[in-house]
Amino acid sequence: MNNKTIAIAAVVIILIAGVGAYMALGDNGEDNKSKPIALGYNGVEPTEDNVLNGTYTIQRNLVLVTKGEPTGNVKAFLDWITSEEGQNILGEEFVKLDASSMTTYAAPDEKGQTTINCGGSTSINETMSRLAEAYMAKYSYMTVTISGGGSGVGEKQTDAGVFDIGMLSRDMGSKYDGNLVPIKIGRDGVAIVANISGVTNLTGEQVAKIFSGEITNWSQVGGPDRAIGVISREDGSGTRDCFEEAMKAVDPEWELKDHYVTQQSTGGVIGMIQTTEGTIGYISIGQVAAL
Amino acid sequence: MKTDQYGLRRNRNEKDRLMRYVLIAVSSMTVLIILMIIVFTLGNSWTAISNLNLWEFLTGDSWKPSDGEYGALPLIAGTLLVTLGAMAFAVPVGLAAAVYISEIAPARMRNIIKPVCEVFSGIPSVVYGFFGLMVLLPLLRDIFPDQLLFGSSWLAGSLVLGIMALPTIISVSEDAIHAVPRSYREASLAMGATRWETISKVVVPAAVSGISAAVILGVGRAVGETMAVMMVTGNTPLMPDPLWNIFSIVSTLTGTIASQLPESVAGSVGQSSLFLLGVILMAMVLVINICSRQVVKRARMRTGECEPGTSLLGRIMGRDGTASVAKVIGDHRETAIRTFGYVLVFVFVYMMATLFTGDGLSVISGILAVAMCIGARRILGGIDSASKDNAANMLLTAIMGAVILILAVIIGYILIKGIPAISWEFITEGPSDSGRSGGIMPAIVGTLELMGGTALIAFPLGILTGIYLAEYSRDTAYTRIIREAIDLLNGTPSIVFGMFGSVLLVTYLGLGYSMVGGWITLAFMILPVIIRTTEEALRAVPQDLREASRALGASKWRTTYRVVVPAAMGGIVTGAILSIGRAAGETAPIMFTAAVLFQPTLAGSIFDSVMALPLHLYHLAMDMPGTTELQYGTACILMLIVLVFFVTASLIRNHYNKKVRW
Repeated sequence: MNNKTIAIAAVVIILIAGVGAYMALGDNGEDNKSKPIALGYNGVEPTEDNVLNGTYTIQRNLVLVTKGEPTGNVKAFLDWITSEEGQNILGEEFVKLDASSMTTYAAPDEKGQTTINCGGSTSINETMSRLAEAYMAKYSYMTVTISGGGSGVGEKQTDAGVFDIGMLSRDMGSKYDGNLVPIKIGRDGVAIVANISGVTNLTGEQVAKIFSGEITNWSQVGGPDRAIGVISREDGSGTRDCFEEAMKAVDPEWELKDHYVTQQSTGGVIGMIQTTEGTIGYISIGQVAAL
Repeated sequence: MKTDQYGLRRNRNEKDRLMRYVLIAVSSMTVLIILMIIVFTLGNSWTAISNLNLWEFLTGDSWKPSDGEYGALPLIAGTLLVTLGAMAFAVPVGLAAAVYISEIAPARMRNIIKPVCEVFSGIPSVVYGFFGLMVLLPLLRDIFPDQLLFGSSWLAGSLVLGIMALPTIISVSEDAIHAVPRSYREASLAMGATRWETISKVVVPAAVSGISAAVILGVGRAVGETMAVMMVTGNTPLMPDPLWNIFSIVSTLTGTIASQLPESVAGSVGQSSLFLLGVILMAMVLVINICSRQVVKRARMRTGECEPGTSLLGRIMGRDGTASVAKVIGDHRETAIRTFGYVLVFVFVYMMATLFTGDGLSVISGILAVAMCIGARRILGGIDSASKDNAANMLLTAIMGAVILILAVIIGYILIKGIPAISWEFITEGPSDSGRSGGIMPAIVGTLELMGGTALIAFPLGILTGIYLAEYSRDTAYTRIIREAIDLLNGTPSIVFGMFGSVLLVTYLGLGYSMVGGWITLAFMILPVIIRTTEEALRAVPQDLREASRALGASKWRTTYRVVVPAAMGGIVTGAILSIGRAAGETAPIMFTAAVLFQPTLAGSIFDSVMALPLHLYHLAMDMPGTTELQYGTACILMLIVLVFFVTASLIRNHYNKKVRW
């Protein structure tokens, strides 16, 4: 046996093993028959319209705050966000304002304040970054920075003058009434998604109990006899915050039971639900189409 | 012209001295790097240390930073349990394979398997994790439908880590077994012992410290592993309930850092607590390193006075005046060990059974298992030693076959599924639709750019330090400090390098995510490997060559540079290529410093961020459902790049081995 024979033998073994594994395992996880769907919540379908008219209750406001009435280029930027152009970007992840609340905007003044610092809620961080990017591409003399910290930090630092604009994924705390001015830029709605045949709607109480671990089998909510697998977003995720708030509105004592699988992204939740029957999770309403 | 005592011209001597200073300066870099890492990691964890109660941090059982709950116990437990599970699987299997290679297989096979092990230990961890995600999890879901709804679990994490650790454990413990003097085997065989008796009673006990070193090395790797674990454990900070529930979802220290650091806010308690996790991780690795050093020391102490056949307990207690205790225990050794073994079997089977059924049945199955063990022993006792030898032979061969099969399946499966996904467009076009479609050209180029820059920084630093250690250093305090620093650097988990880079380069120096940041971080990470392989290669050069050169009047530096280094070139180049191949597959160090998830164009300058194959694969596999084909294609390309590096390295080694003879 010389080295060449050995090398060829190794390649042959590897290929045979690969083909064998391929035939034995097939396209694992892709041939799943059941499809994930977005469930109704208290009988209401998770649609943007239902979020806007308030009948779908797992939702919250997205608010930007400024210290005093916005002026100059800060106002120009805010107007642009609530204009149709800005709202289309926001709509990729969240629920847009209704058309009547959209504004018109003017170009920012090149000689005015050309750097705008924003910060606060991490859940709208990504969308704000996208908005900032588009704005800077449109007006190259503008610089918009985005930092995180959470809604509370957004309020506090805007009040302290560190941020020009504070980003909040909830309504402004009453503590800041009179100092800060809130501007609503959109809504965040969270849809409950599951991969189980025979269940299309859950009540708030049922969802709360599934996620708190009191209900563990689909048969307890009218489905087949199958254990429920709970998927949650990571600690600190904005979608998770929104979901948890809604659950606490159902039951103030509610707490997420920790026997869930953590996914770091909406895509992760969708992927896991697609491949695994009997699972339940939640995603942003803007992403339901990706199911 | 002044001459020194050897009659050499002085100016040449001065150049020589200059080179010495340069080498000292370069080698001190390692100390500087490890000090910086310690200072930055500790410094950044200070906010957490001063704001949180350290005791509660270590013992609290809820990790929920958004609610201000910082209890790291589930994470520490997760890391330890996943490692324990991996070792429970990898150590017996790896040891059996090592025994097979060294004692049973023909000598030729050893020469093949060793480099193959090297290749497998070089496959990026994200590829192992990907295989776990795509193949292992669905398989586990099918096998345990009631226990494993998702598949993601401690069990899955341990299996993936175990498979990853196998090549290292096989390779290092095979070295240890191979190093047992031939005379031991001959003596045993001459006494009429069978091959199996010789292996189990003489060879393996004699190699036990080397084997322990292999195990500890594997443990160190497993504790610091990030990506593969993150992909299959479920990542929820959770104490398994009961503690032995291998089906439980777990989260590890490394996984928590990797998933939460990018989201955390600079200077907050939340970010600082992640650095504190990094400190804990480093402390764990440090303890493991100290253990391994003790084991190696013991092995050195005992060289030449090996007492084959002494019980493990007796060996551990050794010569420390506790010999009499060991003797007493030794007298009852057989019975004691056997009883202990039965108790272990019972406890283990009982614990596993409780995961499936009630307490009563579990106790019964535990008792049944012990009864079966006793029965099996009886039956084995009745068999003559020749058949036993045959049986053992077959068992070891079967295990070796299984190991080869597992590893071949991983490579083969990814190749078979990946190659059809690779097209010209796939490797030449940028991604579109945030990575859901299009090609992966920027990720391929990014990975190659990262490798190139890393080599540029790490090779000179590493090789010069290696030269200093091998050729210039004496056993001074300074050299000891450098060696200590290299050891520490070598043990530092890759994610800690990432954290360090994110603070120093991204934040303090304000580079943001940049290619150069990735270079520096990766270079620091592979530095100790390059230093070690260089030093080893130089030390293997016979002393005669140096003496001959000096006798001809060449200066120290000239001797090193013109004679010793060229002679050791094969080893140096191989080590360098292997380490850069490893850097190509690393994810944790670059995910906070250089690599971004989506960037359709190439980096314009070294201060731009890049895409990288391992991170791209991770992102596709975890966050982008419906991109299976792209995932296999990416995994395949990543694996091929790394394989090319390893094959090149072994070709170069072969070439030099043929050319250089003394």
